[in-house]
Amino acid sequence: MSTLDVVAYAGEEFGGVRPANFLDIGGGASAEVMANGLSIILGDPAVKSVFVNVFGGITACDAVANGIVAALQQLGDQATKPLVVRLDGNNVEEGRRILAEANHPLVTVVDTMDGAARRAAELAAA
Amino acid sequence: MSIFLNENSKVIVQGMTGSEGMKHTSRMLASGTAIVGGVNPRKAGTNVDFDGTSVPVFGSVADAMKETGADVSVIFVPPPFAKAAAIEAVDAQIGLAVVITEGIPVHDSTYVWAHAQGGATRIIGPNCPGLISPGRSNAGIIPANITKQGKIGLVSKSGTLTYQMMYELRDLGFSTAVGIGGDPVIGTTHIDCLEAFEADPETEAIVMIGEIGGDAEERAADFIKANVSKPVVGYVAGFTAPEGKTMGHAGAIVSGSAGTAQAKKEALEAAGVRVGKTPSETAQLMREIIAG
Repeated sequence: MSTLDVVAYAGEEFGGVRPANFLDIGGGASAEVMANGLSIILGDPAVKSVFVNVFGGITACDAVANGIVAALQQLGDQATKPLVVRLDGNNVEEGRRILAEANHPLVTVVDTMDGAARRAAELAAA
Repeated sequence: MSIFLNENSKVIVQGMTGSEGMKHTSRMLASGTAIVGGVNPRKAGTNVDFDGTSVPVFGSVADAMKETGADVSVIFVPPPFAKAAAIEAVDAQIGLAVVITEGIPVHDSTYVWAHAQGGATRIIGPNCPGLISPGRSNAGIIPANITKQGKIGLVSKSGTLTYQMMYELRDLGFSTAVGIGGDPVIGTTHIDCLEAFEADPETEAIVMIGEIGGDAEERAADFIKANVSKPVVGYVAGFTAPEGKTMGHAGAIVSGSAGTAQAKKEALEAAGVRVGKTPSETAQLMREIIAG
């Protein structure tokens, strides 16, 4: 919910971009959960960009990163919209390394929640 | 000092032998918590090994307290059995019962709440991450490695925002961080924590994180105005939440004009609380206060 607020604030800078929807992946995000989540979000025509915001408390960031990579593989050509990913917390270095190594053309990693929200809003307005 | 939990706390785990109980007991032990036992009537008399530490299993909370002097119980029991587990803890008169379980029917929570009134047990939760006094003890599922012991007190409805705020202010450290949970009926409230932080000599300033729904933040604002002399900064999640939709937590819903983030922010500001627009801005407000 805080994520929605931060995106809406960032969107004010880009002509009033607002969140289209919100999906809570819950604790322990497996690749399957990420893939299902992303395919629901990407199926909404109002969505122009996707912001994946994770603070790894219990869920480790490397598991989330693996989930994102696997989800994008599963989705293949269905994945057409840019993803901005912010990871912090538990195993963050490993999570960021996994995403950097996968180097997926749709994925941008931004280190802070505010910065990532801004980038997601900017991509949605583009 | 810290609130509710310190280095002398002796912690038992109800539901320790389940999968979540096993995982988090192991984490709590690794962060230095004195875990003195588990409770499971079907496994009473056995021991569970956690990486070389042997933890005995007792048949009841009362037995565990008698044998170990336990004064805190962390409850990981699944929703259908959580009511009975919490009532058992209350009847055994343990000082603190932390109910982590998500998905307990509100009717059950209401029953437990009423049953605990006037008793010896403080309940935290349900549907919460528990509490941590960094460097001393950790009762629940809050990651112990985010931050260290310090002078900030934190109370939050949201687990993730608890972790986020601890991370933002990790160099300053915390006396105690309490995740009170986002259900409509909870044991320990914002006000209970504010009162305890006000009385705790180690806590110098308080962060209070709320969210849409109910009127807990408004009541906390009244309490702060009348009773809290320490600086408080606040954050309220859900400014952009649509009316009539439950947002993540069962209790997080705007009904008509009631429970909006704006109303909560205004109430807190009227009580002298500085309210941040985002978690990072809220952390910055706290930094300004600590820097004097």
